[in-house]
Amino acid sequence: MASVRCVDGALGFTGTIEGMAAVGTGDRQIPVQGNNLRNIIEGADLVMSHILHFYHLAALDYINTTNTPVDGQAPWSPKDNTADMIAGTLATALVLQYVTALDIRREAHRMGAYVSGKQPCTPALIPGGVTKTVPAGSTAAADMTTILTGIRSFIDNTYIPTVVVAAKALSGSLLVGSDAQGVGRGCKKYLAYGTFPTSSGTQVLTGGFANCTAAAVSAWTVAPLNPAFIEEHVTYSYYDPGTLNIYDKLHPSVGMTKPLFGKAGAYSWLKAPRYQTAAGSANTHVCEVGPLARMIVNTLAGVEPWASTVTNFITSTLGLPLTTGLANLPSVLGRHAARALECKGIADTMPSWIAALGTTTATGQSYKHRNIPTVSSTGYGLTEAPRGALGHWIRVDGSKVSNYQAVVPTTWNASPKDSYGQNGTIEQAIMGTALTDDATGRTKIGRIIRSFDPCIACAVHIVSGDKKTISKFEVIPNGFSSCK
Amino acid sequence: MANTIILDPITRIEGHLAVEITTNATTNVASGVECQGKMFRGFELIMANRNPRDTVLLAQRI
Repeated sequence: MASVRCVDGALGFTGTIEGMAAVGTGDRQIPVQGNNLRNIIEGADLVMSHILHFYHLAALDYINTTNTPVDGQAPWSPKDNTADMIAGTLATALVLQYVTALDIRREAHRMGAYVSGKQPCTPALIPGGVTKTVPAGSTAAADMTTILTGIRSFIDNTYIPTVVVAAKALSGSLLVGSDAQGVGRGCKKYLAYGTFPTSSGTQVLTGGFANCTAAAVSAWTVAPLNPAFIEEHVTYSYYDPGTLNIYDKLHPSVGMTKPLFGKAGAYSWLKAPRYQTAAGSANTHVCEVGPLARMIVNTLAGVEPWASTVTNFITSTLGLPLTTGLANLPSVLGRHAARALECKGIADTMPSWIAALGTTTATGQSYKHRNIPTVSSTGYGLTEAPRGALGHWIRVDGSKVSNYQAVVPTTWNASPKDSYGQNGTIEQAIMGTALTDDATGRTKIGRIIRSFDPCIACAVHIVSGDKKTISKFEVIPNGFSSCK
Repeated sequence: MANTIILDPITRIEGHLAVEITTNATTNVASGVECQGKMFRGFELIMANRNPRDTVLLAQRI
C-alpha cells in the first residue's frame, strides 16, 4: 500500500493524514469506496499474514513434534525439540491447527481477491483508488462477509487461545526462559506509521513513537509520528557513504542507495533506519516496528479498540495485573500476543468496511484519475505492513521516477549498527541472552528472531560455529507469500 | 575467551538473513551480535527512470 500511496502523493492527491491521500469527494481525494476497498485488501493481507507467521513460521519453536503426525516427515523433521516445548496430545492438537490454518489463510486470500483480483501482488491498486468496484449488497460483498465470519471464528476460538497456551506453557509469563536480562526484549522503543484511513480523517491503527525504556510503566511515553525524523545510516551497511559521508543519515525523500559490497567494517545489506530524538537532532532512537509496536503505541495513546483489547487480554485472559502485563509485553511471546490481538481487531473491524461500500455514483466510485505531472513532484506513502511500519518515498522529474527509496519493516528490526554504533533492535534482543551452540541455544535464537516476523523461508539450514551444516531442511517454496 | 555462534541463514523466514553471535566462554552470555542481511534488494535502482504508475506494481510487495 505504501507504493501506491507515494504515487498518489506525486500525482497530487492531497494528504490529511501523514503520507496518505485524503478520503472524500474532492478532486484531490481518494473516493470513499476506493479507500474502503483498499482497506479490505490490506486487511485481508494482514489477517492472512499474522496467521501464517504464528502457525507456519513460529509455532514449531514451541511444539515438540516427537510422536505427532509430522514426526519424521519433511519439512517438519529433523528439528530441534527442547524440554520446554509443548508435547504430547496438546502438541498433536497444535499440529492439526497448523493444517487448519492453511485453509484459513486461503480463505483470507479469497476474501481479498474479490476486490484485488488476486492476493498478494494485486494489479487492482492504482493511484487514485482501486480498479474494482464492489457495491454494497452485491454477491461479492455478501461472500466476503461470510468468509470473514469463518476467519473470525478461527481467530477467537483457535488462534488466540493457542497463543495463550504457548505463553502459559513457557514459564507462565510472556517472556522466554528465565534469563535475568529479559531475553528478547529488544530496544523498548516503538515506531508505528499507522494505517487503515477512515473517511473522517483518522486511522484505525494510529501512528506514533513510544518510549518504554523506563522501568516503571507509568513513565512510558508516546508522541505523535513525525516522518521528518526518519533517517538511514550506512556506516555498517554495504553502501557508499559518499565523500565526507554526505550519503549517510539522509532522510528517505533525498536518500541514496549506492551499493558498495565488501566495504570495510560493513556487515549487512540492510541500512540502519533511525528516528531522531528531536527535529534535526544528531541523537537517534533505535526503533522496533510491527504488531507489538502498534499495540503499544495505540494502547499508550488510548486509541480504541486497541487500548481495551490489550487491557482485557492482560487482566482477563491472562489474569495478570495490568502493569505487570504491560511490563512483560516487550518480549518474545508479547510479540506473538500483540500479533494475535491485532489480527482479531482488524478482522473484527473489516465488516464495517464491507457494510460501508456505497451504491450511488457519489459513494460507489472507487477510482479517480489524475495525470502524471510534467513538473517535478514528490510523494511519500506510509502504511503498516503486517511486519511493521513501511514507507516509500518518490520523486518524479519529467514524468519519470528520478528517486525512489523504500524503508521496510525488517530494515528497522534487523538493521545493523547505525553510524553512532547503536545496535539494531534484533541485535539488542539477543544481547545478554545465555546461549550455547546446541538445540536449546538455537531454539532461543530462533524464537527471538522469528518473534519479529522477518520474512518467509524457502530453504532451511542450521549451521554450527565452524559453518558445518548440522541439519538441512527443504521447505516447499511458498510462492504466494512474499517479503514485506 | 569467547565463542562464536553463526546461524546462516536464519530459517523459517525469508532467506538471506544471518546472525553472528559472540558469547562469553564461561557464562555463555551473548556479548556481541551482528544481524547480517545477505541479499541486495536494489528496488531503488530498478525504479529509476520508470513511469511512476509502474512503480505501484513493481514495488508493491516490498
